[in-house]
Amino acid sequence: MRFFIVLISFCTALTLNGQTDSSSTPSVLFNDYSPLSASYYGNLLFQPGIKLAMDRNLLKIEKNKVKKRKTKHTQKLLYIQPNFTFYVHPKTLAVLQLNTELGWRRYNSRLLFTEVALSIGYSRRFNQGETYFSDPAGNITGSKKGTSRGYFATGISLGCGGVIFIQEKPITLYSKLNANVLTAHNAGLLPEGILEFGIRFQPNFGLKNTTVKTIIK
Amino acid sequence: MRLSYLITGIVIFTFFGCKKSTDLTQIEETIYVRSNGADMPVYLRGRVGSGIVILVVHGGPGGNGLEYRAGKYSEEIERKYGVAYWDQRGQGMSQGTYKKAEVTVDNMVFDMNAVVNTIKLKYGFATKVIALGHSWGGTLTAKYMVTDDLQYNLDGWIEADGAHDIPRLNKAAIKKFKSESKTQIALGNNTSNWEGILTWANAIDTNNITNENGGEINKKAGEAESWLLEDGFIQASEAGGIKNSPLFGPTNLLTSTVTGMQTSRLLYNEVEEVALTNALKKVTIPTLILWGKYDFVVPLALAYDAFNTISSTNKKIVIFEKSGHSPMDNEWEAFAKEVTAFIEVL
Repeated sequence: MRFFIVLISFCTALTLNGQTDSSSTPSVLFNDYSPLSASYYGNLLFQPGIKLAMDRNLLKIEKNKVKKRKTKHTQKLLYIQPNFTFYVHPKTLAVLQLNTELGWRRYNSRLLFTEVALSIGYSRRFNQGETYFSDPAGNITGSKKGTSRGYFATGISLGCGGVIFIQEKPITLYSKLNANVLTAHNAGLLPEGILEFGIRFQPNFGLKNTTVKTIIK
Repeated sequence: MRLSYLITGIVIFTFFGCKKSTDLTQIEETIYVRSNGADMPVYLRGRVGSGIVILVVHGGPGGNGLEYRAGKYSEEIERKYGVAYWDQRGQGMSQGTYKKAEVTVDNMVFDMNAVVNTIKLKYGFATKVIALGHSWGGTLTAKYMVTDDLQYNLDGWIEADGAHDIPRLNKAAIKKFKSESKTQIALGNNTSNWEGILTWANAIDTNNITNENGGEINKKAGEAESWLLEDGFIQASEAGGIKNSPLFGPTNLLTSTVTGMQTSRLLYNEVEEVALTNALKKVTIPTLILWGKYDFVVPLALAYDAFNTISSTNKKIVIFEKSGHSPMDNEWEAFAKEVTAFIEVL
């Protein structure tokens, strides 16, 4: 139920924001600092987790297209995003993952956006409870808590969202569908589907991101 | 003064009221066993304080341990005994890194032994461990029974519709399809469907059953059981049990399905050649054989095969008259009763 309330609020916020005047679209590089984001990161939606990330914008392309009566203003952003995720398979595994994402985001004049990103990373999966170790003769030699295994992770994600302004501060609400593949998992690979709902904000502190190349067409 | 007595009374009442009323010997714990590159979860549930743990060896290949907790029989059994739901190598929520060549029945027997040894180490060497293998789990436990002296690590074997001999299974399944088709056609039940099965079964050369035919047997078995269920020959499973939510539960649906499919594919050729009927002579530990009369996946003929071959002096066979491949679901009460009766005299 809580999930649907969040989803409805999210859609309402985007719709209301869509009514703003598009003739004065601000730059999506809102200030000189790197945007930070936090999101709910649910494996198969319901196996809960969180994701924390920081964007480093690399390139911005701005385009103005004149159509009959309106001018269409689009902004495209190439970014790299280191992120950290944590999620659980209840009573089975806890997963920590470090990723770097390279993404391409396209904003329209109402600051609604779609994005696509590729990622590579490292996933560490921690066994719940004690792990018992068997020697080559089949005897149990001991046990330990917090045992884990590591995997190489690659992924692709598709996202959408929009920017709203609260007291003139830009807040981005977004959702993302992530498809990850872990290798070498067992004797093959493991695909994972994760749905993400998050918020990105523009702090007035932190790492500066002033070297964004901007191309205006 | 009276007020202070009243307050004291309420405090004492509240304190004792907060005490958990659950049986403290009922456990809910997850442990892992690391063996030959695989980390396999073992979900421990039930009353371990009984000194008896039933190790559930799931079907498939490609299933998972907690699937077997969904039936009502598991509630009954967990009330009395400890139950270990083990996710085998490359199935369920098992993780690890190993080569494809390491996905073998022999390695899985080794894994099973590591799980048995872990249970004994954790709960004491006096703990009785009984293996309950169903379907593919029956193949794996049968192989365990005949490998070296491993059977003596167990206190009993419950074989439920287990596939200990695939070539023999395939032949018996075709025979069963033919005979049941004729019976059902004569009774006028689902006639066109059974006629289709009969035509298909008659076209198979039983001296040369291919892997493709093997796959078809599984599929047709499911269909046949559904018609028998419709016509009242098989009893419908009763709602209830301790179901795990596919989205919120310990077994992630996608992980379990994908890893299971990969492992099933890797084992396929080896499993198709497993033929352990003669080797079952080695089995001397107490054995209970439980089978559904209308099992087309692993036909009844294999139950008698196993029963007649094993050397155990304490052995019993029970045929469930209104069950298919999973009597623990179709006739859960009778199934749980037989399991309990077997364990109580060990």
